[in-house]
Amino acid sequence: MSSLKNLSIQGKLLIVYISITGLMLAIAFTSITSFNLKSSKKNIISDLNVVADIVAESTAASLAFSDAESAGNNLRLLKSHESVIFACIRTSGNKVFAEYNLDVNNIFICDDFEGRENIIIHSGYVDLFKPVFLDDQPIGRLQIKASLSELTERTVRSAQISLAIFVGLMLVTVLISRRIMRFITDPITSLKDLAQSVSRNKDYSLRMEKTTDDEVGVLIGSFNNMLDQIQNRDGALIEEKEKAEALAESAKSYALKTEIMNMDLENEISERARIEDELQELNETLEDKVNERTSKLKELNEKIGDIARSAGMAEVASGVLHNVGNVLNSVNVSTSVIREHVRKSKAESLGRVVMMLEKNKNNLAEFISEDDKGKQIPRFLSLLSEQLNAEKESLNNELDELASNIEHIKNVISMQQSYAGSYGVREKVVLSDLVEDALKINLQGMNRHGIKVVKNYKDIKKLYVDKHKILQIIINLISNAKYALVDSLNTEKKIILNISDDNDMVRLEVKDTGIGIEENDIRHLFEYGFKKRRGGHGFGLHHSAIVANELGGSVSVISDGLGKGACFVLLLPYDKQVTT
Amino acid sequence: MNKLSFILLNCFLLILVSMSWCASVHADLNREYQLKAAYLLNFARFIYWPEQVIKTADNFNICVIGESPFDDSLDKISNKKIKNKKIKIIYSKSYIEGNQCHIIYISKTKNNEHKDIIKKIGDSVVLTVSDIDGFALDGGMIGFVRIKNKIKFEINVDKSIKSNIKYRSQLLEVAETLR
Repeated sequence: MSSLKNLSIQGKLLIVYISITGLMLAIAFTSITSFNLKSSKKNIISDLNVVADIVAESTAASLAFSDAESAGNNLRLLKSHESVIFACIRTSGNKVFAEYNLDVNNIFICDDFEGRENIIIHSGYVDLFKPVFLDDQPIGRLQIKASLSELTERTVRSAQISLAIFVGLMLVTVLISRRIMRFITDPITSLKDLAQSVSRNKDYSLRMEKTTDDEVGVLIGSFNNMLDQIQNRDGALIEEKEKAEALAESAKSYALKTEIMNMDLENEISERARIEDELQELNETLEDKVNERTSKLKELNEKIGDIARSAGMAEVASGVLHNVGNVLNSVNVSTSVIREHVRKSKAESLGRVVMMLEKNKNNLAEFISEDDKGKQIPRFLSLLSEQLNAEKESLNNELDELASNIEHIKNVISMQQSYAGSYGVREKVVLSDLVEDALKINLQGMNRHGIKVVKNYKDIKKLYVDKHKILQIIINLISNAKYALVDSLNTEKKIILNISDDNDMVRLEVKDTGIGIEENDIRHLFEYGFKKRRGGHGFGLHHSAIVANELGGSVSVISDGLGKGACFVLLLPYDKQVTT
Repeated sequence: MNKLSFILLNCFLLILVSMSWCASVHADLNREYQLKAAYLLNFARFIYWPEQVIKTADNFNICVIGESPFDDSLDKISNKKIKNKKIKIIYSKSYIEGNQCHIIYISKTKNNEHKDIIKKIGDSVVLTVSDIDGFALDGGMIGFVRIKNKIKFEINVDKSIKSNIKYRSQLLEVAETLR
């Protein structure tokens, strides 16, 4: 049975076909043979009955007239019937009247058939007993013994033929079955081959075409779906495997690095050990060195504070000097213009006319009326007078300008002086005044570059602060805004100054439409030494932030990026006890 | 033993043997006619009797003409039936016309008259049987003959056909001679 289990489906189907067909054919042939056998027996017996009837009939006279010879002759007629091997007649008195024996050895005897059945079938032969009647009166009894060997032979022959047909039909069945089975087994075999191919080559992209909608078709569809899922999972697995390999690789490299780090660590440990030894030595002197360093750092800190303060002052001074420089430039221009006017003055020509008149003072009338040069003098004097008036007017203007510029210088310097003396002193100030002072310091530069200033000042309370520190911050913010606008290609160059407050804080916004600030730069904008502008020193905003922080406030910046301007916000706290 | 006694004894023995022989001969004759009586019955059975002949008669008549050699053998078969007609045995010293006989047995005692009787019967539907020698040749229908100590019979088919007597083939098969 186990070998049957492992048989291919085709083999199993073939066995089923052959078994069923064989069984059916065997039943059919057995039935036919059995029927033939019975039918033949019946025919033989029927024939024998007919023959017996004839013989009995013909023998009746022999019996009636005790003519045994005639009866014997009648029985010998049975010779024509090959199957009859013996026949006899007994009288009604049960005496043997006549016999016919085909066998020369007379092995058969006439049976005493009293009480026997008419037909007795033995193996190989049959006995038929027939009474002989004369006018309905039994006058004797006929016995015919017929061999069934012919029937047996015929049956054997029939069985042989049946067997041959059986074998032939089985062969035909096998051939037809194989052909029919291919409809069933071919798709299954293909599916099996595909499954083996998939299993062997791990190629999950293979598919089988679905040609039918029967169970096999459904199986193929399901198998294809399964392959889809496996393919997807395989892809995911490969991906995961690659990741795992990458992870392993990185783990390996990490291990290598760790090893190296370990080695480094070991080296470091040994180095540390060495350093610890050294430290041990140095430890004793360390405290002194720390103290020394601390004092040095303190000094340095103070220096830095001074530097920053100086820087702030320098910023103010720089602003002042820049303004003064600008004004001086105008002064210089005015001076040059005046000098040029003076150099090109027609006053020399007047001197030459005076000398000409001096030379001809004796005949002055004649000279003016007669001489060619003398004739032109009145006209010349008239023109000269006009020229000198014009020069005078021009010089007056230049001198006014000069005086104005010198006045401005004086104001700036006096303002600077007013701040210079107040460093470190807290006093009540109006923020907008400080903003205005800062604007004045930068005014010249802004005018020259066509920068407009928009002011939105809210009327706020006075602040009680060190105004110099605040001014430094505001000058720095306005100065930065100015440079941002100068460097910008934007046509609208504008600084917007907003002053507002709430309960606790005062807010000053210095907004420009200049070059803007990159997002990355915003983070570093207040770091010491960070500078984006050529000529900047990198600590202006840093110092402003520190100073604002010292005052309890802050400086912050907002910019949407390059080319989109910037807005610096200075927040300062009210000192509630002293603000009014 | 004296001479007379011896002669008397011999005579007695002779008489005894003679009586024994006589008895044996009588017994043989008796058996022969028992058989012939049975044969007469069987002849009736193996003949296709015309319906008319059977229908018009009350019995199936077997007539014995002359001295009957059958003793009571024929009477013994009279309880049988032929064609559903009871057998009737009619004994007659001579042939009497008008007797409705189906079978006429002519005894040997009518050895010289049998031809006349046959003539008188003519072509009537009557089976004529006799054990007179040459009876079938003399115009009779069935004549008993003894062959090899067996009783056989001869059939005169032509005469029988003339008299409208038809035999079953089986009878003809067992007949010794057909004429």
